[in-house]
Amino acid sequence: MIREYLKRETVFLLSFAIILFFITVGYIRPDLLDVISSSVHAAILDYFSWLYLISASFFLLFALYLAISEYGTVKLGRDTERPQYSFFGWVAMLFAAGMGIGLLFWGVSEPLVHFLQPPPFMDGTTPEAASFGMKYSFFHWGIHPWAIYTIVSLSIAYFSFRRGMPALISSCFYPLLGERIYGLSGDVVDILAVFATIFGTATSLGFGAIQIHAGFTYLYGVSSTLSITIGIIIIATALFMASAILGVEKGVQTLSKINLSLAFALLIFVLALGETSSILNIFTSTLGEYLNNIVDLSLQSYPFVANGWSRDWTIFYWAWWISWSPFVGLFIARISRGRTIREFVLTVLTVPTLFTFFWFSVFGGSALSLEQSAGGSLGAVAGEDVSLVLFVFLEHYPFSALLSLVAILLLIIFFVTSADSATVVLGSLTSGGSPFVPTYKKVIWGLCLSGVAIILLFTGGLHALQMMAITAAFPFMFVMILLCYTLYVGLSQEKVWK
Amino acid sequence: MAAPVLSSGCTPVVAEGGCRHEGTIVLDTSEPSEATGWSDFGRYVKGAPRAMYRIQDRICVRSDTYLVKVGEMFENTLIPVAYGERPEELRKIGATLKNYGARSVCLYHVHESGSFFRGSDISWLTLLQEVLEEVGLSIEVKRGEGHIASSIAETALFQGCDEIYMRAKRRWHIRTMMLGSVSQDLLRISDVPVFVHKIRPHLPEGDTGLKREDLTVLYATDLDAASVRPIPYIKEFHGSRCHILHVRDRMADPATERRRRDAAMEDLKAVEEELLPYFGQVTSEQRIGDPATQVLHVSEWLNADVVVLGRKNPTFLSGPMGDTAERVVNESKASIFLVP
Repeated sequence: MIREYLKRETVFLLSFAIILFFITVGYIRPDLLDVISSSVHAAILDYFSWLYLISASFFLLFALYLAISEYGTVKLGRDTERPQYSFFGWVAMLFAAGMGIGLLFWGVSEPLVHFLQPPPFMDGTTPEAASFGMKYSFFHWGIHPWAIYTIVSLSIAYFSFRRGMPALISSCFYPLLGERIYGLSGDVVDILAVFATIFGTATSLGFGAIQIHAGFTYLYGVSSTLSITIGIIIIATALFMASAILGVEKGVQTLSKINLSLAFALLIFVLALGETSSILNIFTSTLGEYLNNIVDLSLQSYPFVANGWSRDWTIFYWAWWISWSPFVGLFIARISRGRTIREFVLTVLTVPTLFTFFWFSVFGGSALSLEQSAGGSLGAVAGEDVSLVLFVFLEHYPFSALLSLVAILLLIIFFVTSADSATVVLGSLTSGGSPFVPTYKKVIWGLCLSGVAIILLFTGGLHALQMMAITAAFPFMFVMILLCYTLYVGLSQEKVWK
Repeated sequence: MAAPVLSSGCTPVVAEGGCRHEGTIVLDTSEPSEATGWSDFGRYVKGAPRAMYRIQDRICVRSDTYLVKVGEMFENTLIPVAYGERPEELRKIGATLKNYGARSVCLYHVHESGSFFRGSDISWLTLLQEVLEEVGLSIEVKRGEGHIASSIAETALFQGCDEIYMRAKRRWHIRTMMLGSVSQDLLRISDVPVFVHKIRPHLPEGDTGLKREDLTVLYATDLDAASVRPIPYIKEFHGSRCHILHVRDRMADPATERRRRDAAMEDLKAVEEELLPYFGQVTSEQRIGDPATQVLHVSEWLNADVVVLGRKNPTFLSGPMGDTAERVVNESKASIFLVP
């Protein structure tokens, strides 16, 4: 009986044991955890940062190839199936899944930080630095992250809806592993997916908690000690776990829709009351520059002048997107049943990307315009604490207190919905792909998510979060490269064997 | 099985497991056959159109024009020779070829540019000719120059040879990797079947030659058109055992994998039945994995004497990686018989 349970729950038990070990070491010896994670992180960046760049570019090319090749007409489901969601509903859900908290955190601050602290070969606070900041913000939040999501979601959707296998990453490895996907080899693949999801989501939750705390500190003068950030995480954990345990999926969906509407309203508000024509000019010219330089951007690591800058930004982002990909991939796959590969790839790569570009143009572009005209008030804050920039930025608009409150509300809802979805996805990944996840697993994964976020903040704050995202994504990058191969094998058998 | 139209008026003798034709005939099956079994046909005439299609998941081969010479597959053999060839070794080869139905041999020597022996004494070639004539073969000596493999392949085609027989020379692995070998090049470019003799089968001393019944044949098949072409030749080997090996990719899901396995098993059974009258024992298996690795593994496990393969068009990766035949000929201890 016990042996059967152990065999059935290998993925759950092993991944839980690893995460528990991580939390325990972080609690007892945070210095040791910091040393170990710093060494692993440094080794990965020293030897493999180029691989992140090549992999992300390859994922993009591979996704485009699938879309324009004969495989583009293959349906993610049976040949007669129709899409389950309307086009606009589908696109809205795609966007909500892919970015969330990150857009609020980095929307204002990233272009501003690049503007103030560009790579060493460029002078800061110059028009070139502003253009550089916008271009790289587009690049980091552009088509590449969605290409990374596309590979995972397409693989899961293809193997589960069209080939009738469980919605697990290990299912996609059948062409390579055969029946071994039901054994240790398959378990290792799923454990790597769990590991990446935990650290990727914990990084986002950490960012969210830091920014919510910064908002409260800025608005209401709440103490800026770490214990308050941890308190925010605990309260948010209680909220999302209640939602996950009670199974209020309908409620979470409604919250997501409200959140998207609020985010959209905030966007329109800033666009309308800011320098609208300047924002639109920034959008079009940065889009042009991005498209014109996409090959150079994709493979550029500035090895002679600014390799450290490339590691701190581009490599971190690629790793972060990869660590998010099992979670987002599973979600996107679930909502994309019945669509053709061409429709799926082209929509996922273009529509959310364009919306993100617009978001960055509105928030980042406005912040840069303000910084240039108002003379450094935002820059001074960004230099000290990037999590505060959003609230200082909103100060320049009417009803700033209300806007900041809306921003905090958005962050809290994004936190709760993302963590809730991550808990369900982790539960499903550790329950053989079943959509019915036992409550105890939801509780355990919810606590683990928050525990990891707290431990990372405790050991090294923002930097520790970024380090762990890169480390956790590293093994999953190889899983993704193999996913491309297995997906290709599956598709190449379509003509003869389906 | 719908009978093909025979333009020469020869009567096919239908035997169990397929048709058996005596003598030289021309098959004209321009009317697409509804056949679902294996066609029995012989040597492929260069330029004749070929096509493969599936009927109800079974592989069929449509042959528009084929010259069938069953029973005379190894009648005329080209043997490339170089200075230093040992006459006693050639005698054993000649005796073995005779046992396999050879009547005539074309001894072919290619001058290498800058060779010390260019245009000089060819008495060694005459000696080799005499040795083979003593075995009872009709010998023609030819000389050529230029790129060795191309020259051999071209001459074999123009001389109407049924096969090219060559002994693999031991080379440093790194040299083969970097520069390739004549046998590798021949396998790639020849339009005539090529037999590359490696360590196995061991040729017996004296004039007796290797007997058919001593031979263990491994037939590696993809169950496609390229793999059907070697079948008449395999029948000519008449060995003690033929093992049919099908190596393929794993399907993308368990259900399709089961269907594919069953279909392949059915096709393999059909080939088994086709070859059964010609061997003491015919077995088959299918494996999943890299074809060259699996062929080499099974060849060693079986202690096979000859590995028979059909040549396929090179794939994108076969450039840097080498295709199956090239990799097998480099690493195998068994001889390779490749049918283009």
